[in-house]
Amino acid sequence: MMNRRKIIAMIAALAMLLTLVAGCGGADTPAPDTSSDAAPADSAPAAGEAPAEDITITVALMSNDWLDAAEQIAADFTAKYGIKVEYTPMPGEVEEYLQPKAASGSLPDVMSINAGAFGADLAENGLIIDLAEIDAAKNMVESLKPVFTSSSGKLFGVAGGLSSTLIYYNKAMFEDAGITEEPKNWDEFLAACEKLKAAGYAPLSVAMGDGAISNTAWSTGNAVEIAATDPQYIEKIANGTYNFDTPEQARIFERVKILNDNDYLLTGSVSAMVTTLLDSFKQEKSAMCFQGIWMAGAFMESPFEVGMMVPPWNMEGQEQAVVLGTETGFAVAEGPNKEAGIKFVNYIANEEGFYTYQQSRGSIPSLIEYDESKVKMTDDVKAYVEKLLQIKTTGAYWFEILPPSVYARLPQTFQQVATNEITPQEAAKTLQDLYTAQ
Amino acid sequence: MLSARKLEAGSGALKKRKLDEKLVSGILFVLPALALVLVFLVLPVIMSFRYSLTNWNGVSTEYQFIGFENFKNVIASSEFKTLFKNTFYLIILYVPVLNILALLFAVIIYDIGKLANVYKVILFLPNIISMVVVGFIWRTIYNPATGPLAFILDKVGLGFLIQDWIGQKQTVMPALSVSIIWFAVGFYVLIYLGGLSTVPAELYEAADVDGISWWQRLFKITIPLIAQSITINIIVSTIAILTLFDLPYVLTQGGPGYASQTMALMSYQYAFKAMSQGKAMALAVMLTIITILFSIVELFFLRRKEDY
Repeated sequence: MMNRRKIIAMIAALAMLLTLVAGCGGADTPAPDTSSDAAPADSAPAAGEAPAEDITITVALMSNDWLDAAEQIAADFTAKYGIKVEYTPMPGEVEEYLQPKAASGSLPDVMSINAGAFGADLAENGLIIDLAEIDAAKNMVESLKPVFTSSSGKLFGVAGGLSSTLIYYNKAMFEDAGITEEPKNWDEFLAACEKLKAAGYAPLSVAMGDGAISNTAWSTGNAVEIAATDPQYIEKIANGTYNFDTPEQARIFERVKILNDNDYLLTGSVSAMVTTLLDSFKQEKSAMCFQGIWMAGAFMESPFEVGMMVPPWNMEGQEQAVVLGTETGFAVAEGPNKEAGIKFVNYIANEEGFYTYQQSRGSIPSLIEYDESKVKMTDDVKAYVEKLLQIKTTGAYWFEILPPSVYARLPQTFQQVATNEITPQEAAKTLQDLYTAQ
Repeated sequence: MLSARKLEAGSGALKKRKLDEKLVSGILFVLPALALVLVFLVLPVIMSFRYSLTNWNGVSTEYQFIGFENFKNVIASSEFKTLFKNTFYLIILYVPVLNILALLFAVIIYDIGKLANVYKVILFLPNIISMVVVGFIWRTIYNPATGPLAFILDKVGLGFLIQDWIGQKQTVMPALSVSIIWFAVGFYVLIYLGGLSTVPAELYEAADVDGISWWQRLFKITIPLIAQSITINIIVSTIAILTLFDLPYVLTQGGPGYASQTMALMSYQYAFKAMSQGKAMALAVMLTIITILFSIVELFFLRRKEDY
């Protein structure tokens, strides 16, 4: 007969094994209902639903540049609705963060979402809900809805704001270099860069190390080169009939090559990430910074006077065109907390939370109706927005229109052009090869 | 009185029962760890291989079996040669340099006496930092506009050396290697120090009496006697560099272009940026095979050197 020690040891080993097996099991998660109707408008908790104080929602937002405001919004929402919020700032890019969570069925209840293919895919697979009937969506500018709509017509996201790209510039450096007027086209821009370089300043900082270059150089180039001449380009890209291997697409890359070859870019731009870019400009390492309007709030607080100009990316014979798209929006995951999630999205996109969000970023509201007295925009930003809205030709952001197989490679393709590994024409062909291989 | 044969048979049966009991309890003790290994290592590897044969995008609930198309597409892609080249570059540059440095540090520290522990701590300190943090540290160091390296070079009159170290094809891999070696050398020094502690001191005393030089001591006595430590370090460092992801992701993102892109990084890009889990898994399977092959070859050659 086995002695007591051995029996105890065997029981301990079995207990460990059973614990492991028990931990692997769990309640079956119901399959996502892909035929779910649009989310109903706000309503009181239904009979049998947990009271608000028992609900905790998980919220993950891309909020690196407005973290304090995000946490304030979460706290204010809880104070108003009694629904607790477990808040997580999203590191990195939205798609990279959400993709593994989507694959493992662990999406947060409320999340940041970009317009474009990824969000549409989540919606078509029943992982995020249709928001067409919620208050925030009904108050959203109509023209922003198509890029947040999936192929079967689901509105999967509510925009966080209207967005554009622009060039911020250090007014003192411009004055010192003898530049008295903002350049209006590409040639004037190069001339301004030359003056700044002669005055001892690094003319422009861009970030090619991450998606920032896609927001700025690619999207602006696309507006000037493509949107201005081919109004159907978005539909063509979506239905697989577009051709990237064109001189127009090559010129998008050529502009960055010209800037780099002439030493108009701050040293380190090829490898810089967006955070480095922002620091460099604020530390006055460069006279200009190519970024998005979402940084207006942060830049306007710089210790020097900052100007804002429409990117003069139009070459000779071309019209001025700008990017006018959506800021990262908000989506709600399909699941038991979707009603509470809808309340949060309404709060941050359409109620008091919206003003906290907008004031921290100085962004352009994407709402039809809102209280203008609560919106914080400096006079410079207001003046810029007025200028922006007068430009007839606008283009979309890369994430709103490009398939993932193409946009995943954009920053590296720009780097290859900047380091002369490939020509702008080869870069255009690369995009076409990626597009047709998907 | 029991016959000798019956006694023998009885003791044989007793031995067999004891063996069975040992076997059962042994299996039961190993089972939890084995279950963990099966669930978190073996099963994901099998699933990875399965997904590598499909066109799954990582989100859809539906996907099709497409055979070895993903493998063909990955190998045929324009950047595959660069991936291969970069991965081998890192093995050839990183593994010998790291091990030579670590061995030299270990030998010096072993002989140094009083401050040995201080040096051990200094060398090992980077290894306890997260690789992500190491990546950010070196990104800051290498920043040509605002980084400390550029600042120091400028102050000592070597401003002409300032460049975008991680933004140029010619300098990104050496820059990446420096950061990896800085991070990892302490760990390998400790392994070598462990090996050195097994070398009998009398051998060195006898060598000193014979008047051999430091280098002769190193090559004729130390290295042959710590051959097992060398084997461990070379194999571990090879596997580590083949599967390295965090540091290059944070430091260079594989750029400029694909100049510092490794297979692990590319797999990540396929999976989470290009939404092509099938290709990601195909590349991961290839990386696994390469890692196993390298380990087997190194083990084969290095084991032979251990016989002295």
